[in-house]
Amino acid sequence: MSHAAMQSLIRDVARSERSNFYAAVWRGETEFSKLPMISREHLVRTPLPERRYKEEKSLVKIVRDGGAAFLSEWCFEDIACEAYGARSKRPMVFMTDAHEAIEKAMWCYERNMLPLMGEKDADVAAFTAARYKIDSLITDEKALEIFAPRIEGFSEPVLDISIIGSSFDGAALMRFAHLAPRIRLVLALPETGAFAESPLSESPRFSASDGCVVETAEDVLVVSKTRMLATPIVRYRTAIPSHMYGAQ
Amino acid sequence: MERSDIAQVGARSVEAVIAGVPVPTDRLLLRITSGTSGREPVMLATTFAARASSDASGPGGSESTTLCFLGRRSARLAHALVVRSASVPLTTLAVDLSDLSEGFADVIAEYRPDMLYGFPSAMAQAFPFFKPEDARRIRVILTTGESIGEHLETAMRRTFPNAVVQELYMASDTAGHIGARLCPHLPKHHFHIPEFVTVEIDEPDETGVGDILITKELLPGIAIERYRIGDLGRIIEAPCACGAARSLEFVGRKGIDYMKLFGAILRREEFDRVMRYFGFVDDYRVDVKRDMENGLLRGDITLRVYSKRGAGTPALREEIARRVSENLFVTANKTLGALVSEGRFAPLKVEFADAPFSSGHKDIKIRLHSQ
Repeated sequence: MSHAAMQSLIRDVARSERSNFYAAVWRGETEFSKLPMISREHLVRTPLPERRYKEEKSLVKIVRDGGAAFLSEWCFEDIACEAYGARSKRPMVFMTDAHEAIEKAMWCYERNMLPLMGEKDADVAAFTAARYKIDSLITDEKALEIFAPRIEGFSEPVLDISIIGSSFDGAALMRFAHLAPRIRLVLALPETGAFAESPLSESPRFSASDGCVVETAEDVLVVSKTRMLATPIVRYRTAIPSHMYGAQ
Repeated sequence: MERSDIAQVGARSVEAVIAGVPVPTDRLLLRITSGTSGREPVMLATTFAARASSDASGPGGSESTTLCFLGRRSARLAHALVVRSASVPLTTLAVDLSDLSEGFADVIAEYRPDMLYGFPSAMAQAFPFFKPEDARRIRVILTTGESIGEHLETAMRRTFPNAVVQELYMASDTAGHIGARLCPHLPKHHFHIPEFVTVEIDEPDETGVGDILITKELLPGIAIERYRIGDLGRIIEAPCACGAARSLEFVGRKGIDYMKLFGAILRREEFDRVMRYFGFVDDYRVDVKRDMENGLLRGDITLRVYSKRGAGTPALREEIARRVSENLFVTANKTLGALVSEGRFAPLKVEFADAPFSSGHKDIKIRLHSQ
């Protein structure tokens, strides 16, 4: 971890005139390892305008958490810094959640790649994917389950698949191993973005993405990002079991 | 060009992108249209207009927080690209139909939108979720993809008292933007045409109404040319107060909102005008067919009305038929009643519907039924 980068972010967040969302939780503490954690509950009960630390051109997503919903805002510049997929010539985004799909497609644009947006109808998506001769895919497990049979029928090979999610059963996911020579699992939450990745294997071992800190606390993962996001992520306690991380 | 030609042009445009085109990536977009009647979807690779980013802004190009109501995910992506290319901080949230459930009212209250953009019929599904204080915050409603029906526009103005209603004339099979009604001087369904689109009217009738043909470049060297979009309209060659030299009037979808038969022009707007007299009528539909009477072909119109007050009496039906016949102009100077007297149309029939009419993606009022 870049300790200096994280401490710099903490200073900026604590001093922010736009929001005191974190300041109210931290109560003057500034040392990273001692900062009280936040969780999804904090986001659910704090309206977006009160936890917005910068105002730039952005997308807002609706994130459903059981019966509750909260908003997650992503500035385009920040989407660019995420580690959602691989560089390719003709990427496709085919995801279950429409909000996530649009964000990942914007990630492609931010990385100077023209994406094909996979429509919800898998047959339409497959038709357009074959027409565009996609060479990479950003997806989630549920969407890939639907799309996999169609990929097998493509005349052009898909070289890279990024499966985005917050929970992975490596052994079960091996059923997709034949679809592409490179398949990565990307640990991400809608509100944190991507924070770790692993090559597909029966026992994935994840590595934290650049600019991300992944800790373990009480058997769950705690995520921090050094970048000032619309709602920064600092010691964000997830519900992701730490045993799944297979930490490197 | 017809729709089958668009599919071929689309395929060429995608092939061109695969081979490499001299256009920056962030000015390119892959658009997908719906496949209808068993036809494959059409896919187009196109540049998108930088000027369109101004359409995503609030009045005067100001900042806006937009709720976007578009169907296709590729269309929502296109809107996000427009927001991204803007020169002012814009924020967008693309609403999915699945979002319109419990808790969406709280989402609106938290997000604090001041602009709605997209299909009016999709927006309408969100109206019930707006609390009055959130509805009053809406300054601009920018519609696209379908005409705003009279009832919907009334509901829009009632729900959002501080909003200006504007229109974009767009079609996915023409790679988006055709015209825009953003200036305050244009009446509804009238649009200014951007410089990157050429609009012609094919086979105009005596009122200047004919098939709208679109010519537009998709990519350098690849264009849709004189594409018959399936809409009817006319060019208004008169300068607008905003400075635009001409405008396009969208009359309706061919064979649906506007039709010609037996020397009569049946226009939805004219039916709307006449039906306003009947305040108790909540909705109506017009069924048109060709009928044979004494060996002669003539038009046959059935006006179906729905009123929450319930079915009307035979006397009321006759009154409606009489008044509509006397007041509905179907030529420049003749009413339906006159054409009935001439034998070109059967006397108007009026029926009361037991239940509200269903509204699909397009609010179609007039239908020509084949025999």
